[in-house]
Amino acid sequence: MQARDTSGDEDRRNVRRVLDGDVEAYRNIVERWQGPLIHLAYRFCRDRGVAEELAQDAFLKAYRRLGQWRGDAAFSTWLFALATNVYRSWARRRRLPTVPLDALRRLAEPARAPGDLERRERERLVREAVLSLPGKYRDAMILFYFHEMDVQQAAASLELAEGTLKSHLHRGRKLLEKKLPRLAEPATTPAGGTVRGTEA
Amino acid sequence: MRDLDRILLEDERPEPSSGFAASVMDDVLAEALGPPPIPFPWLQFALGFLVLPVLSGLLLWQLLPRLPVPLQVGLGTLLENLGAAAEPGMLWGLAVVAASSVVALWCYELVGGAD
Repeated sequence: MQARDTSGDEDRRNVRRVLDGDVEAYRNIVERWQGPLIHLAYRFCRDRGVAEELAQDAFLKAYRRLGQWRGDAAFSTWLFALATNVYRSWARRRRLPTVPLDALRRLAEPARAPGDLERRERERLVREAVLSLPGKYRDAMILFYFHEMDVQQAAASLELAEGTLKSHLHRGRKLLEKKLPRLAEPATTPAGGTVRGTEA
Repeated sequence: MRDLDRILLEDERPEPSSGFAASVMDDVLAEALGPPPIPFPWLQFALGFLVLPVLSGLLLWQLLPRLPVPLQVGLGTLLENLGAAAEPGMLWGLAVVAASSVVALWCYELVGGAD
């Protein structure tokens, strides 16, 4: 996340060149932001191929609307807000993902020291459970963690007030706690000891 | 919920495929060289959005006093009597308004909303 914050001037210069007719300058923008945009899309769809398609769509829309960036906010803020809208529209159109009941039951069982495979499976189910939340809570959770728990940036990407985002996060976490009660409890070994790194 | 924070922070970060930027640029160059996209007709949309309820309201205002049954009866009975109460011109008007709404919604969906 550091690299994108260091030079807003470079983005500004590239945007100016594109708007002045140098379309090739857009390549610099794509190369600079492709990683974060694909990463954000992946958090919405959990599929690499779909993530690239969504990011491509977002870049094309950004190109069409480049003149609408007023320059008062960082280019990245504008680009993330635009991409978030593209990804949210896609998420609204597709069927809601469901986490199988037996998988949720497994997650609700008392925790024991998990093997690597089991841990990965558990983490995958938690991420999928986030996707099955109602849209506004899902979006808040996705953007909050994508922006490394920065409320201000997440709120800007969703074009929400910070207070609204915090309330959506709170509600989303409560819903997840209900779905995955084990996340809210300290994990224990079969002998009763707490497992380091898996406590809630 | 620290476990949740850790799991969601440490999410996978897929690397862009090697041809990704080139593929985006192909689309962008095609867009730049092609004719400009047709903008969404917001003015016509807004006019239709305003005129449609007004027209529907006027038609109903003309139609309702002629109904041979009171409004309190069920919707089915009301619709059955609507045909009898209306002059043919009014029914055509209603049909045209309904058809225009369907066609407008269909076009809106076809272009993928306002994008």
